[in-house]
Amino acid sequence: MECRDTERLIDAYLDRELPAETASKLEAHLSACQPCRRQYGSLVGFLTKPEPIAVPAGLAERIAAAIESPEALTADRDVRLFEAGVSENGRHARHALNAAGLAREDDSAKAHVPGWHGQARRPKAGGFARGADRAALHRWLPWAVAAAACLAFFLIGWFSSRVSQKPEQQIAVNSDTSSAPDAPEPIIVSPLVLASWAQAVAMGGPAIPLVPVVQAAATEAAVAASFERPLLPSPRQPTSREVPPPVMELPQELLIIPHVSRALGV
Amino acid sequence: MASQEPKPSDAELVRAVRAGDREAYGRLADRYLASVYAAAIRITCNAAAAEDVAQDTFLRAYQRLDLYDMKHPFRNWLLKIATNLALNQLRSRRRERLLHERVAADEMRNGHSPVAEAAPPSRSQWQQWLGQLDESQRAAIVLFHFHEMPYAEIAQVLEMPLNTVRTLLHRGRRRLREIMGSPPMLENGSWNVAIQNG
Ligand SMILES: [Zn+2]
Repeated sequence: MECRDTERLIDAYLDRELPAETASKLEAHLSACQPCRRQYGSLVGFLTKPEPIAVPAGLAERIAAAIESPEALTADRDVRLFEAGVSENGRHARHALNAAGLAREDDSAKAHVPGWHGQARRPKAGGFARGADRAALHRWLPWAVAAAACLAFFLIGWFSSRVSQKPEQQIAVNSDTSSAPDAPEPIIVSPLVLASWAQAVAMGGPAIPLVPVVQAAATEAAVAASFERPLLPSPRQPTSREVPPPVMELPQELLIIPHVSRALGV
Repeated sequence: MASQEPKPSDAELVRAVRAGDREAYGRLADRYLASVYAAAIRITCNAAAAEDVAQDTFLRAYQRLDLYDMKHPFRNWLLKIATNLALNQLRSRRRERLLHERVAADEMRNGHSPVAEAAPPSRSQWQQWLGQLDESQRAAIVLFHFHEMPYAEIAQVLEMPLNTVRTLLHRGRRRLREIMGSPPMLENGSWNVAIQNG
């Protein structure tokens, strides 16, 4: 064997692909030839006779403790074993999963291994509960936001109507003349507007927040314009003795509906 | 490593664990802890990270023992889990380091002198060598040379074609030879190189 054979064969040797006989010839050359040893000696030595590595004291005990910990019991395996009537551990695991509402969740490895993300040194208790909270949050958050938005828009409309509505747009509600000036004013925000706002929110919010604002304003303007035409007998200025004709006998809550029906010309 | 407990085979112990015997798992863990820890520290080049990886490996293997295919050596299955965890560790450490660097750069720009980073733990020669390879080269070299894992299984762990694994090994070895031939690295430079950008 010569030096150029070393160069030619060294990769195959390190790949453990050389026939035993060739390999031992190469080894013999490497130990005898100074230039080849200088070239490849430390690499071959490092890869074929690695420095032993000592396991740190206490690591085995920590692993044993992790396996014995309640978190380890929440393994799918224990649950399945329990269901197969094999493992008593599974009963606890099933309880833990049920408690966290995860018993029928997808069994992705990450969701089931506490402290899995590589930063936590120890498995953390409560990983399952947190996962369940997050899942529930994802499920209900859009609905909660949509409902809250509906309520908020309704209240905004109601308050603004109390502040800004002109007297001639009022609809006579009460047949009682004396109490007419104090009667609560009707609500001007129409369900159309509320619906479009709620839809925008439920669909994850509009790309341009101004769009639903403009839409809502346009709809409101249309509704308001419809009141300019007196569809109802215009409320006369009631005298103290005169009783105006009862126009509607609707409860206050339903007043938003006639607004719309009139706007639509129904 | 496997010579301490010659009596029951891995397969027998695995079957016992599957039947609900936790102690059998303890024996399996004793048998392979040294291998798993060695692979973890060689890939992460960091003792604390390697302990985390080893602990997570055994916990995860216990919880997912149903997925283990008895046709393959149990040790290789553990090493696959450990390698994936070690590579994840490196990635999250790299993200942390990038964040740290960005903060330090901002502070420099704002005229603050950067807070001196804690000195990296002193590293042995092999850590300095392996630390200069990129992550997948290092993983391939560690699994192939120090744990005798076959190409096909390394390809599975690293999720790359067999030929790519072969190329990784050859390039990694060439790089190692260059590193070994060059003068020893500065102590403070070695840590940063260990967590490569590639
Ligand atoms: Zn020679």
